[in-house]
Amino acid sequence: MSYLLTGARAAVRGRATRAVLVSGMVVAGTSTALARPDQLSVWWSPLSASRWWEAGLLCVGLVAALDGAGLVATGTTRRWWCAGATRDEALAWTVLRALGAALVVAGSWILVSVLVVVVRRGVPTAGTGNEVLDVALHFVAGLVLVAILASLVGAAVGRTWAAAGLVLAATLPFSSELLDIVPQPPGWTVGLSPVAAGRAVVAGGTGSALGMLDVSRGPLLLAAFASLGWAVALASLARTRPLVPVPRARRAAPTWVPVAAALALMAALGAIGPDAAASRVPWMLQPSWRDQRAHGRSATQVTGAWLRCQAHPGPCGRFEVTAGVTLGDGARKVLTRQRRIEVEVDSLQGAPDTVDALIEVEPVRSGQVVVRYAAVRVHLVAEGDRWLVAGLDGPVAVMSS
Amino acid sequence: MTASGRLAALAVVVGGISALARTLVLADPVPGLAAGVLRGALGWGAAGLVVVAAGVSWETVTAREVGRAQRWHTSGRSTSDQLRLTVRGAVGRFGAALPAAAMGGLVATGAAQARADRFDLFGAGGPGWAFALAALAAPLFGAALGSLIGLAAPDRRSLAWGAAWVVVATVTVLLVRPFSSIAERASAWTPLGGLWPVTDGWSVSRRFALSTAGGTRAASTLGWLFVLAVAAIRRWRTGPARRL
Repeated sequence: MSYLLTGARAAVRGRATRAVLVSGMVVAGTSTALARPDQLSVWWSPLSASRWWEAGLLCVGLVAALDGAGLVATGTTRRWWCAGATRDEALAWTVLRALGAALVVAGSWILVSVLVVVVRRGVPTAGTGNEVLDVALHFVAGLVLVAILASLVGAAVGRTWAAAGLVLAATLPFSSELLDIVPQPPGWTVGLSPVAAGRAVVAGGTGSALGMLDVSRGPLLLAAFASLGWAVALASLARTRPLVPVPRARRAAPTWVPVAAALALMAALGAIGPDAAASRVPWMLQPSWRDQRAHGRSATQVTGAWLRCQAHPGPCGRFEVTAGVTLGDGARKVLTRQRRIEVEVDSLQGAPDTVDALIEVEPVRSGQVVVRYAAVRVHLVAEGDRWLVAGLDGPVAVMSS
Repeated sequence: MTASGRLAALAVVVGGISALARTLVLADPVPGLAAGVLRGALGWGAAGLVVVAAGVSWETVTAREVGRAQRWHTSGRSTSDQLRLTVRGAVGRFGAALPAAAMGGLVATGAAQARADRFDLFGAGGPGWAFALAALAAPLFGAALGSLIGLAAPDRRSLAWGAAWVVVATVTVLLVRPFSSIAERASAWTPLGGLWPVTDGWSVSRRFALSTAGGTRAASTLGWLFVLAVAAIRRWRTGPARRL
């Protein structure tokens, strides 16, 4: 218990750990203050919104790694050993101290986010016992496992900034932000990172990034084995590393070394990058789509032009496939009575061949309800370098009272 | 690793990424070798906004903190003279890394062409005039910005913390935009919001792409520059013993 308390005190007193502590509280408080009201729940907020959970876990990992490495770097581990403790005992105390530090960090950002929720929504009614217990268990297990693995990373590395960098490097590739912009890797890749593997064991499907990694039973088992493997390997490294830092001669590398390394990196980027990126560029940024947009031939532009054309009695065949488009009575009535067309912008369009549009029509009153808008969905096909309208779903009335 | 080696390595990386940026982000065809070299060099020029600003501001604050500025002052060099020398040194070092950036562009483009099994010396894909102008103006703007920051920052610690918080605040506001209309409106007015380079044409992600009118961006940038200028002038007026 005293090691837990010492670790808790270290989290508040160290300059770097204090910075992490404050950052975690700022992220939790800001995110909760700016979140949509429907995302707020005292019980679920810290877990259901992945960014708070992930940012909080990153802070926990960083503090644990900094504390674990700090004990080695400042010679505390060596003093424990000199005083008669075995390496195993010293390692256990290191982990306990890191756990104490991690609990302070986690407690502070959880407290801040819960306080903000209470301020915004008031004190909630208590959830069911099982629900609260489930959340609490996930929460504590995730925090403890990440703190243990990160403190072992710190104890094995023995240098504070190197340990913090390693934890960052092991966490960020599995964050929601990155997984939103790069294709999701296979589930087994969580095993490559001790922190991600630790999270996968306890947090699969709880709204964190790991839910996006489709951590089902197979990868979950793999993550459990990976966590165990990482724990054993890191503990073994920490137990056998020299207690007295070995001084290394600092010698500046010649100028050409970093330049050559950078050139090799760029050669690798040139050889691998274009092929890897080509299939991952969204369709609306592909050259063909941009060229069509520049010439007024993209699906959204053709849709807008075709819908506006329907307001006039003349033919609109130039926008349609050869077989033409068959319109129902309802669609024809809406299109001829249109006042204004709002075509969905590219960035909100789900697929290139389906475009949604909102048509403002002359108001029609039915009892207490006034119909002002009708929604339609237009289907298109690509012919050569242009899109042609192939069909129309709707219209669906959009009511306003 | 020497400082010049680090700067040259950074130039190689910036040049290589700039040469292939449109290919990697927009799936454009790999540019010709000459276009790649030009893109690499101009990409390094555009990066001058950050690189030169960081170099000038850090040098200025360091000179004040380690006592070099005071020694220069007692030997008769005015503050503006010192700033001029600092800027000249930083821009000189930045310019000396230009061939490395071009080399990075050449290597990245060459490797991409070799992978695609083609050789294209003067093919398409060169930079536009707007990019060229921005690349030429960026180091000058960076020097002015670095001078203001260097004068305004009290010490290196504050400078490092301030820069970190500016980046963190800007990125945080941008990332929470999908969850908050307040953040959506505030994003353009964050310290780096006016200069945020990712626009709708480069990314479809609502979190990273900032589609703000040019006027708003200019107003935001000028507003923050004004704040910086006021801080710099206040420090300048506190007298040579403090400002140097």
